[in-house]
Amino acid sequence: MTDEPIIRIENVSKIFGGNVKAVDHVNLEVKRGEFFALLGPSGCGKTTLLRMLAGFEVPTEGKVIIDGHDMSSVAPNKRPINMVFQSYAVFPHMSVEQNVAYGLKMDRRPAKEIRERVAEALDLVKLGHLGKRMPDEMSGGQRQRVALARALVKRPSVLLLDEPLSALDAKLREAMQLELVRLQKTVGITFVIVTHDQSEALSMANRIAVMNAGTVQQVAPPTTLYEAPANRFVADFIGKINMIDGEAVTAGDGNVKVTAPGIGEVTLKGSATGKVALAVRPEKIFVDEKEPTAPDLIKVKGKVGEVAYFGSYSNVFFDIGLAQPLQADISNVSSDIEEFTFKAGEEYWVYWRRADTLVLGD
Amino acid sequence: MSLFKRNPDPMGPLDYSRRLSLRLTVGLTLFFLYAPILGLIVFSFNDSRRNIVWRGFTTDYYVKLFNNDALMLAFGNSLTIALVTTLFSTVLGALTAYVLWRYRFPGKAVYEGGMALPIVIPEICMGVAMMVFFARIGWPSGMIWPFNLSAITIAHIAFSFPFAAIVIRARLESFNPELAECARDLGASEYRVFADVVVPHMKPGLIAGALLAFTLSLDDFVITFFTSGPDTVTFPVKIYSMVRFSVTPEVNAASTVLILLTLVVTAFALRMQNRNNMLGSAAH
Amino acid sequence: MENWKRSARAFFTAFTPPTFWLVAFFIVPLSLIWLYSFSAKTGVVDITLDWNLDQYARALEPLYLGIFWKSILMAAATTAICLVVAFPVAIAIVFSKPTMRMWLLLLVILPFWTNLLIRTYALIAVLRTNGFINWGLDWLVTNADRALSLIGLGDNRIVGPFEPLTLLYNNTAVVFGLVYVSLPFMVLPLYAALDRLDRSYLEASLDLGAGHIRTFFSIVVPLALPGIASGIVITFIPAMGSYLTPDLLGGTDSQMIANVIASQFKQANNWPFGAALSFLLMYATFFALAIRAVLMRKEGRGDVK
Repeated sequence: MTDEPIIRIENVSKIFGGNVKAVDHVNLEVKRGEFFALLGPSGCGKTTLLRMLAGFEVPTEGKVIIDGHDMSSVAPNKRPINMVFQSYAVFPHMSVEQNVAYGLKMDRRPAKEIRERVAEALDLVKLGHLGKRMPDEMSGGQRQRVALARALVKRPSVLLLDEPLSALDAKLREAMQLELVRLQKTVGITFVIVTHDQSEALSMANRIAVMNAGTVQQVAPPTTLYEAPANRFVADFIGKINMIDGEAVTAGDGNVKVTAPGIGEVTLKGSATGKVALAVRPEKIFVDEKEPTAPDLIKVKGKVGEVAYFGSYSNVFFDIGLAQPLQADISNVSSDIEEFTFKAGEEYWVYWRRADTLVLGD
Repeated sequence: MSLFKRNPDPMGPLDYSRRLSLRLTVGLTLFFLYAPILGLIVFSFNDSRRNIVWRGFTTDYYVKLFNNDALMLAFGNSLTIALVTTLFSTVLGALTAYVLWRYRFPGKAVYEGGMALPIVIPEICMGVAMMVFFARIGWPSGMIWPFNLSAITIAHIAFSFPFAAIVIRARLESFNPELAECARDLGASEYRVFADVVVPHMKPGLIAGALLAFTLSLDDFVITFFTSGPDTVTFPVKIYSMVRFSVTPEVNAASTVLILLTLVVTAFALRMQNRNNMLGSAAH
Repeated sequence: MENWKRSARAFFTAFTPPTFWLVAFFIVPLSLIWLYSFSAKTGVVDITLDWNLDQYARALEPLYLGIFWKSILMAAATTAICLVVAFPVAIAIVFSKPTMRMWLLLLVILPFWTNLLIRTYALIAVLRTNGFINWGLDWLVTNADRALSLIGLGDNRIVGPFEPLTLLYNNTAVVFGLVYVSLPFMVLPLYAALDRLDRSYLEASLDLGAGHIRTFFSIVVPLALPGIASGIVITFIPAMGSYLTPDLLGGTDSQMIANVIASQFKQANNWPFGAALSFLLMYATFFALAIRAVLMRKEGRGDVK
């Protein structure tokens, strides 16, 4: 097992029609055995990038290297990669077994081997008993599993999945998330998925590449992306976050001094300077009627605005005298309703730890 | 997007239209389709009776064409028939489309099949059927113009109104029935609803259907061949007899004129059909 | 959809005129012919309807059966050639950019809108002894000979003298002509069927290791089958019943069934026999349509996502 990444995307760009930059000088590496996600809003280039891995788009610039081999002149049907399409693309005129066997037929495997491997693949996706069914007799979720089996039976080095969960209803989506992770661990190959749903990426992937407008904003494991986003875009795209605009200057020792209206001056760990956003996640915010006295806190007085009650927590918006309210996710740790009710207009001290504050550039 | 700007994108695996083999096939096919017609048009200006070697540009044959009384009469006949056919076919086609779109009735499937028959049946069968029909019921012959064209016209209407019906029916699919209900609610009678609300919506379809009927009638040969007589010759039938005799530039000239006429009408029809389709997706 | 009884008067007002026309001037004439096919000829235009099958029996004699069979074969050949040529053209159009696509479709359809008589006539100038093809070949051969004479092998020692090909007034000409007028008929339904096809199927097939040809035969053809069937039928039926093309381009032994029918009515004046032949042609047409209907029902799976 080498340390060499299984996929290397080297300075790849894709320009359509001479002026539409779908992918802009992207450099990425995917490690062997990873569950890797390409995450971003629609139009960010993630699907185009995936299709360049599969071979359905040809890079305008740059190289795609899979398992050490340059794929520049390799057609899609000759790559050690298989894809599960967004629409599943299960051939409607073939049965489940015939669909799954198709790729092996193309490899000219002997009939006995095909039968065995098809049965194995169908068992893997729990469709073992439905081999003779036709696709139009199956649900969307079942068709997706056929598409999975069809791709996995070829034992590719990498499995690509294009928005695998977007067509499923909420309950099925949750089940499928766990299923895909389990599948990847069982089969042991590298998975690369494309999704626009950040909670999906966070819960399934080992590492995520967040993309916007054709460029990669940050590549990191989910926890890093969440707690240490590289810039405003990543912070805002992943989870909820409060952002207060301010100015920062270096203060030595890996710190910056940030000045923001409503907060004043505060020294924080960070490197961004100039126009920055002071940012803190809602669940890191606490409230108290009395002024908190612990050290290393950032505290402001706020008036309760809108409140959304979710049972286990409330999402409360505080007006702190700035254009944007501060939103806090306050856990309901007491069954004393009085203690946990927030009425509009009430004043509270809103505070969070200095260490939990992020300084974000663009 | 310009047809001839070089495409800067690298070619993908499914970019079949950019492959040389397919481009060659398309090019050859188009050449095959157009070369004979273009040859015909070009040689209608050829100053030579033999028609194969180019001897010089002349419009003599067009002059001859327009001075050929029999041919001009035939052209006049064709136009008259086409215009009357268009009128009747559009009306009958509209009524058919309306009935099929609006109503459920017993035997509707059979009726729709029946309406499809004139489209599906080989022209020769319909041609001989009409000939026998008119002979058998003793349709008067030797009537004065334009009544002597009645047999041909009746036959033309019979085979073209189902085509018009299809085009108009397509347009009706996009009609919102609530508009008609609203008109009824406001007190309009069935007739007024039809005339004031339905027909205006049908208009692009009516025009497209009318142009289709016109072209079908103008160009028809087989059915006309069997329903016409020596004194009721139409343009295609006359050209046919000229072709049987010889391949002269005069025939080329006549053909070119017919091509031009058909092209103009078709271009107009296509523009109407485009509006037919585009307006179909708009709110009305 | 309303039940007709709810506005019966409006229904009948709209229903009657077209139905009258269809029945009086289409159904009745066809029924008349149908009756004629069971009659015997007694005089120039008189007949007696005695419900005999003599006319049909005669129609099925080897001579006429042979002509039927020839018509079917020529129509089949036409359809096959059209299919082979139209498919790549349809593929090229479907995978083109939208503007290009519109122009290509227009270019392919335009000849269809020109008069059939004229299109067929145009081919005469192309196919005859001193027509374009022979003229072109003559030019090629003559100049090849001239080129060869530069190295001393000219003077018709290796090539020529040019013998013009007899491309007109035979079966080849008729098939050529039928292909020429039917090609647009085949391109359109193929284009429509390919356009409806989800491209992910093609990509999935490539992804799984199939080549382009394999993808074409395993995935494209089965899924586009209804469109292919439509194209075949709307090419085959008019070709089988074609009158003008064999009449203008064919020789004495390239007669097709429509020509025989026509001669029964125009020259031979044997209307009952012509009627029988007409109806046999019609039955053949309906048979072809029925086959297509069966095929459509069996393979209508192309739209499952």
